[in-house]
Amino acid sequence: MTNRPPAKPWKLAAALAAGLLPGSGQAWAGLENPPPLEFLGLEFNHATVVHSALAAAGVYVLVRLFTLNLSRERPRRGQVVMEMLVSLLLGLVKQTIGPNRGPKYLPWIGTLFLFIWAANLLSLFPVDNHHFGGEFFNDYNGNGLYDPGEPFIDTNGDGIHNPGFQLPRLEEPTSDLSFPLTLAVLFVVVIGHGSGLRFRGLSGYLKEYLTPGGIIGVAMLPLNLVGKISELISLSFRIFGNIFGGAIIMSVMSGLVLYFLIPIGMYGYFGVFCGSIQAFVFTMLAATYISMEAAEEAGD
Amino acid sequence: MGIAGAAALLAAGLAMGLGALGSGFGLGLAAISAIRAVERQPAKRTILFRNMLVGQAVTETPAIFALMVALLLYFSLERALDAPWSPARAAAFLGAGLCIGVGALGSGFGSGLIAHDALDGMSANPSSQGSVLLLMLIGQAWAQTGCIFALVVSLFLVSGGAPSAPAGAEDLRLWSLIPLAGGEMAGAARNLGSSLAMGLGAVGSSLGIAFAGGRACRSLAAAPAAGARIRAVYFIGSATAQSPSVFSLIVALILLLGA
Repeated sequence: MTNRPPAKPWKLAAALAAGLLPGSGQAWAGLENPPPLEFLGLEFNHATVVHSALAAAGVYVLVRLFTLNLSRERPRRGQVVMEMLVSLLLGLVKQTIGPNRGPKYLPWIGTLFLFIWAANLLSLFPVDNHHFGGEFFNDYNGNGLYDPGEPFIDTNGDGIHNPGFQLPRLEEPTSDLSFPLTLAVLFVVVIGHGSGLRFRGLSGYLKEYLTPGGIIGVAMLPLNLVGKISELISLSFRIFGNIFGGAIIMSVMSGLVLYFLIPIGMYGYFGVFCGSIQAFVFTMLAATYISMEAAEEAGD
Repeated sequence: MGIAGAAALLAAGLAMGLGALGSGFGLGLAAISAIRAVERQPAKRTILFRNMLVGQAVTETPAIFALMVALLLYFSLERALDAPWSPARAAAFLGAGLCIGVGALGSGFGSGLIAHDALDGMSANPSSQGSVLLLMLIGQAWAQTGCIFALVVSLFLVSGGAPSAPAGAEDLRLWSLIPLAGGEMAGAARNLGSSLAMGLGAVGSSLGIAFAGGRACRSLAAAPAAGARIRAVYFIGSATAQSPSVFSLIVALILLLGA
C-alpha cells in the first residue's frame, strides 16, 4: 500500500481559489498595504494573493518531490516524512470524526494543514518588497538601513501619514484576515454543514438549531445561530491574531536591532514554532467542527 | 498629542500589563505539572517536556494578542493627531487596551490550567498522551474564544470605535434600529461600554471552559475507553459555557455599530 500525497490538482485549485477571495484584513487594524486591486467590484490584496499562491505551489512541489519513486522495501527520507505526516493526520481525523467516516476527510484536512503550515512558514524567506509595490522596512532612500525620517506617505488617501507596514520578508497570507476567514468558511460552512446535511438530512440538520427542543428550542434559535457564527470568528481570528501579532513583533524587533542575532530567535519562535502549532490547532479545530456535524452516531 | 494620544499610550501599557497577568500565571501552572510529571515518569521526560512546550505556546496566545494590540495602539499615535482632544477617540483607545487586557486574564489563566491538568493526566497514564494532547489543544482553543472576541472588539476600537455623529444628529442607517445618539460623550460612552462588556464578559466563560477542560483531560487519561463520551459531554458543556461571552460580544457590537 503506497500512501499517495493528499494534494491533487483540483484541490490545489480549490485552495488557490480560497486564497483569492476578497477582503482586506489589515484594514481592521488600520495598517494598510498598497491599495488593493479592484476587479469585478471585489478588492484583492496583492500580498495575500501572491503569497497564498506561492504557499500552494510550494506545497505541491515539495509533496511531489517527497513522493517520487515510492518503495515499500527501501523508503527514501521524503517518503518516510510524508508517511509520518499522513499517519499523524489519519490518526487525527479518525479520533475526531470517527474511524469510518474520518478517512474520507483526510484529503481535505491534510491539504488544509499543509497549506496553512506552508503559509505560516513563508515568513522565513527574505525578500525585497519592491516587487510587490511596497517599500523596504522604513527604508525610503534605498540605502538598506532603517530610516526614521521617512517622507510623507499616504497610501490610503486619508491625508494622514501612514507608510504602511512593509516587512523585509515574504508576508504570511495568514496575517491577512481574509485568508483564514475564507478557509474557516470553506471548512466549517461548506464541508462541515454540508456533511451535516448529507448525513442527517435537512430536518435532522435544521433540528440542531432548536437544540434543547420544544418552546425553549425556539427561544434558543437566535443564540444557536450566533453560536455557529462565533465558531467562524474564533477560528479565523485565532490564527490571524497569532500570526499578525508575531509578524508585528518580529518586524519591530528587526527594526530595533538591525537584523542581528535576536531576530533569528524571534523568527524561530514566532515563525517556526508558533506557526506550526497554530497551523495544527486550526486543522484540528476544523476537524472538530466537522465532527460536530458528521460524527458517527451511537457507540464509541 | 492631546487627550487621544495620551489615552493611546496609557492603553498600550494597560493592555500589556493586564494581558501578561493571566498568561504568566498559566505558564507557571503548566510548568508545575510538567515538573511533577518528569518526577513520576522520568523515562518519558522528552515527550512530556515537548507536550509542556506545546501547551505553553498556546497558553501564551492571549499575551501575544495583548502585545499586538499594545503595539497597534502605539503605532496609532499618528492617527490620534487628527482628533487630539476628542473624548470619543480617547475612550476608543483606552477601551481597546482595557478590553484585550481584561479579556486575556481568564483565557491566559484558563489555558494554563488545562495544560496543567492534561500534563498531570499524561503522567498518570503515559499511554494516553496522544489523545489527551489533542483534547488539551481543543480545550485551550475554546478557552481562548472569549479572548478572541475581546481582540475583535479591540481591533474595532483601535480603528476608531463607534462612528461619532454630531450632537443632536440622528444617524438613520439601514441596519440601525435605534438611531445613534449624537455627540462626543455618547461616542465615548459607547466605546468604553463595549470595551467593558466584552473584556469582563470574556473572563468567566474562559475560566469555566478551562475548569471543565482540565477535568475532561484528567478523565480522558484515567478512562481512555470512554474517550468519545467524555469528549462529547465536554464539547456540549463548553458550547453552553461559551454563550455568556457571546452575549457580551452581541452587546459590545450593538454598542459599537449602533444597531
